[in-house]
Parts: sequence; C-alpha cells; structure tokens
Amino acid sequence: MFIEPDERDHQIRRKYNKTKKIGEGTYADVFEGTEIATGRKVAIKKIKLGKSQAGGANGIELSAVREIKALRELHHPNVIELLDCYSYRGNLNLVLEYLDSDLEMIIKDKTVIFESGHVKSWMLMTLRGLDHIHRNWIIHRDMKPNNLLVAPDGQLKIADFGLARDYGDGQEKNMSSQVVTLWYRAPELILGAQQYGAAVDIWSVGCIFAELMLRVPLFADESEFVVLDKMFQALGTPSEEDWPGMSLLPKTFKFKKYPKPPHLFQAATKAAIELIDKMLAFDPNKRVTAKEALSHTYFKAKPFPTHPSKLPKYSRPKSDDKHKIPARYYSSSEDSVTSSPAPTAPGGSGVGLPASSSVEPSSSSSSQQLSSVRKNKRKAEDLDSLNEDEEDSEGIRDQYQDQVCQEQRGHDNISKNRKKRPRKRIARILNYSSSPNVSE
Amino acid sequence: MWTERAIGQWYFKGTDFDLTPSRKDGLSMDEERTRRAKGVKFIQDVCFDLKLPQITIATAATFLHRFYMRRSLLKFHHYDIAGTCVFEACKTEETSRKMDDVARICAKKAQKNSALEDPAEFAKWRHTINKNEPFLLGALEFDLHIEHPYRMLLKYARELKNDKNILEKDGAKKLAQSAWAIVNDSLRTPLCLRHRPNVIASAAIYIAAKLSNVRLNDDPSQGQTWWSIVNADILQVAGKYK
Repeated sequence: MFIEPDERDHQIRRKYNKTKKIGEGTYADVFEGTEIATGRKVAIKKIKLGKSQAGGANGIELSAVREIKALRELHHPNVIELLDCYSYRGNLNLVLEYLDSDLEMIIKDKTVIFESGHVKSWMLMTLRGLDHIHRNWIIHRDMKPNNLLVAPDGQLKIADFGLARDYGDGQEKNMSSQVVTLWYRAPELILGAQQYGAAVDIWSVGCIFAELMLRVPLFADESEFVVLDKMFQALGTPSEEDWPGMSLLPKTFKFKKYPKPPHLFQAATKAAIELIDKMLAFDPNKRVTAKEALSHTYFKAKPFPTHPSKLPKYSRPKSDDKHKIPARYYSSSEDSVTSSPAPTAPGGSGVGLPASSSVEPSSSSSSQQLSSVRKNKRKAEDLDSLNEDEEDSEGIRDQYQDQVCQEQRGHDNISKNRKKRPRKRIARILNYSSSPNVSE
Repeated sequence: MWTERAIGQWYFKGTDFDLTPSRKDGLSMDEERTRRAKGVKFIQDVCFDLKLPQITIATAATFLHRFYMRRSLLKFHHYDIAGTCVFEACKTEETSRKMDDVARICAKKAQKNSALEDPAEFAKWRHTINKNEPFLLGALEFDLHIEHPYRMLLKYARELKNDKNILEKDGAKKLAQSAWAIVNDSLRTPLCLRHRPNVIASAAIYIAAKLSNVRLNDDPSQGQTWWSIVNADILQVAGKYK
C-alpha cells in the first residue's frame, strides 16, 4: 500500500538499461536505453537540475514540468507515450517511446514522392492525436512537422509538450501569445491575443497540411509581420465580417488589403480544399475543431488514407555513425557549412520558394556564416537527406497490425528519439531585423 | 489504464492514516494533523503575499498532503515542503513566480518577520527549494494535474440558478460562494486524500445550504438532486463508505 518512494524509484530504474547518450537539449540529456524485460528500445530523458538560465535559480525547467504534467494525462497511439518517471540521485528521468524520425525529415527527403493517400493518412493520425489532446483540455502550442514523430511502424506521434498547457472552460486571461514556432503560428497569436484556445493548434495543422501538399512551409519567414502579410496575400485580407473582433486585438494595425486570390492548391480535390480552408479560417471561432475535422468528407472520400505501415519512411544513410543522429543534435556552427539561397521570393505568391536542394557552398566570410546559422539549420538537414542512399532500411520490418490505431510494441524497433531543440524561436523573432539575406 | 491507476492511488481509507510514514516514525495522529495544517497555513500565507489565485493554493495544499503519504514529517519539515509545493504549484498552474520571490516570502513567513532582509536566509530557502523539488516530484509520482472542487462549484452556481427552492436573488451564487469558502477551509485537513473533488463539492454545497436554511432538491422524482448535479454518490457524500 505505501510504497517507499526510494524503493519505487529503484524498481523502475532497474527496469531499464541506459546505454548511450544520443543528444542534449536545453533542459535534458537524452539517452538511449532498453527495457530489460522486453528488449524494447526506449529514450531516457535526464532532466538537468540547477543548470537553467537565470543562474540556475529557477529549479526544474518549466517546460519539463509542463511536459510531465501533460504526458501523464495523455495516452493515445498518436501521442508520444511517457512510459515511466523516476528520480535517481536527485535527478529526474523520463522514460519515453523511442522514435527515430519526424515528419519534417520525410517532407525534406526529396527522394520520397507523396501520394494523396499518404497525406490523408498523416493528417488523420495528427488530428486523432490532437483531438485526444484537446479532449483532455490541453493545448499543445507547438505543432509543426518537426514535432510529429514517426514510429518504425509508420504511426505518427505528437511530441514535445514543453509549451503545452491546460485551457479551461473559464476565460483564462493573460496567456502568452509568444507561443508556437512562427511559421505555424495562428494569426490571433501574431496579433497578440492573450485569450485563445485549441484553435491555435488547428491553424498549425492547417499549415502542416499545406506543407505536406507543397513540400515547403506555407508561411515561412523570419518576421511576424511578413508572415502575417503572407497569410493575407495567400488567403485574402479578412474583413471585419470574416473575423469579428480582429480590430480589438492588442497588436492590430491597418492591414494592407489583398483580394482573395484563386486557391493555392489547384491540384487538390474539392474536399481537401474545403478542409484546409476551414483549418486556415482567420476567425478562431470559425476554425474547425479536431473532432469536426475528423468527420469531414475528406477522410471518407477516395483515395482512402494509406495504412501507416505503407507510408514512406525516412531512410537514414548507413555509411557512418554520425549520420544516424539528425543534424540538429550537433551544434549549429557545424551545420553552417552551406549558405542558404534566398529563402523567399519577395512579393511573390505568398508561398516560400522550395527549400531547394540546390545547396551552394558558402563563401568563407565568417560574419556571413554566423548570421546564416539560423537559416542553415534547416538547410543542413536538407544536406543530410541528399547524402543518403536508399538501401538502408535495416531492421525495419513489415510486421504491422491491421488496425490503424493499434499501438505496436515492437521489440526490435530501430528508432531514435529526438530531444528538445534550443529555444531558437524567440531568437528568431527578436533578431529578424538584424538578419538580412546575406547570400543575396 | 495507467492514468486511472495513477489517480486511484491518491485516495485512502480512514485506516490508512494509521500507516503513514510519519506514523511509522512514531508521530501521533494529532501531531501529524497539526503539522499538515501548519504546512497548509504556511502555503496560504505565502501565496497570499505572492498574489496567487486560489487554484494555485489548492494545488500546493494537495501536493503537500500527497507528499506526506509517501514521506515522513520527521524527515522533511512541513515548512520546507510547503515552500517547495508553492513553487511547484506555480509552475503547474501556469502562475509562474520567480524562485527569488518565493524564497524571500518563505523566509519572511517562516521567521514571522515581514521586515526581514537577510540574504543568507533567502539563499538558504533557495537551496531548500532546489533540493526538495525532485523529492517532491518523485513522491508525487509525477502526477501534477490536480482536479479541484472549485470547477464543480461553478457548475452548481449555474445549475441551481433556476432552482425554485432558492428564493433569494443571486441565491445560487451566494450558496456557491459560501461553499467555496468551506472548500478553502477544508484544505488544511487531508480531505482531498479521502474523497474525490465532486464529492467534496457537493458536501460543501450541502453544508452551505444548511447554514443558510435553503432546502435543496433531494427527491429524484422532482428532477435532478443536488448531489447528482456533479455526479456524486450520495452515500459517499454522507460518508457512509470508503
């Protein structure tokens, strides 16, 4: 009945075997491990204590607390599973599912061709996971392809709950609007709304949906207002009827009026266009909920969603060990060996140019290298996907169950967990004015 | 399911309170109750000075009660844990306060000296909170999401609005307000370890109604009874079992 906490920690710790360190984040070191009883691979996140910013004076990082709080509540095949927590010698350890790739890697892998069934399947899994999160009154606040991890059996899992928080039926005030990676940030957040809800996640999913079709981020830029401008260009500036209350938001201003252009996704089916329009509705109250989206005709129409086991996977290059770890595990200076081509077409269609595969070698000026570090983070991953050869699919076998929602506890999963990225998103906002397109 | 097991483990029978770690260490039942209450009083004082909302206070108090079902009061002083609980509740309820502020107020309250300006004492409290934080999380088994009776009381305020038994204007609201105060007072006792939040909420509404001579509907044939509004079991509300 009363298990001693020390005894409990000891029992849990003995269940797992920690093997090697695979990454390091702002608040945690990530280790690879195995569950001894089953041989299943796990990722063990060891939370650093007293090493946070502000001189280590704030105890356990807030995002770690948020992640623990959210993941203890959530159990769904499309949400990353927190298997166990234990403390050992004053350190906290979280045992998580071990997943080796994310949707961003797959999107950037130009050798993979997406069929509409693939896109549909990924969207279905994302929305199922998100619906579960929202049902538990949690908003994720950082939905992006990079945080949608893919298991070896093809199941997509929402991860990274470092920004997640509860939202109640009560009118919660003073929520921070500086959340969600800028490219996926909902317009109400950009305009500084402090009261918002689950709709912010749906906007992000809409952006991801578009990105799956276009293979480039939909609203990619370094500055909040350029992103907003791109939204208006792509979707037409909303009028007061389209979005009542828009003019009351804190950071609102007189917008440039764009007419509603012909639709971005000419090639998509009518149902897909309708769904994406509902997800990218400017008025958060008019945006679909995850639950409504799941019953949309898009998911019932042909072609049907591809079975997760048949989805394209990110194939890692076999050649050397270093490449087994995604580029973001390394310091950014290592990444910045290439310079980025101009990321967007100024005044263009409102959609960024493809994060092209024509990566050029950098001119050697060090200042250029420094200021392009941020952009090159994504580019470096491009390089990774260029270098790869296709032959590698070691150990990833076809042993899948039929139910889409069936969670598989494979015992020979070759997978890799990813860790927290450094908090670049804030830097990205604050420094946008000081980071010109050096390569131009 | 893991979640259900995790929630269920935090509710105890009356006899379980004879087996707590503090009791095993030889503390009397009365003494344990007193120290728990002192800990929660400390939480309330500190939170008041930090201008924290009632939800954060309730979460911190629940953390404290749960903590002492896993650890002994003789090994962890109730003020130390109370301070750590406040700091942790600030994080989980998204009402962040700086470690420095929490440590400063804790030091002042612990010394009962609001003019205290002793950097050494503040540093000591920072150290205490830092040291105890992992112990707290471990003892809580990382269950940081706490459901409180307050939300259920809001539901009462809404549902009872049209109750014809309540004659007074704004009667339902006043009833819920006095029930709210009763729930606040209950935080000093380990009630949150005995009953689920809906049971506590409906018991509080019942007491509030008794105090103001309001008769709530207790006949199922006359519509919804007062306990069924929050899906509570009347036998549990009456303390008949569990």
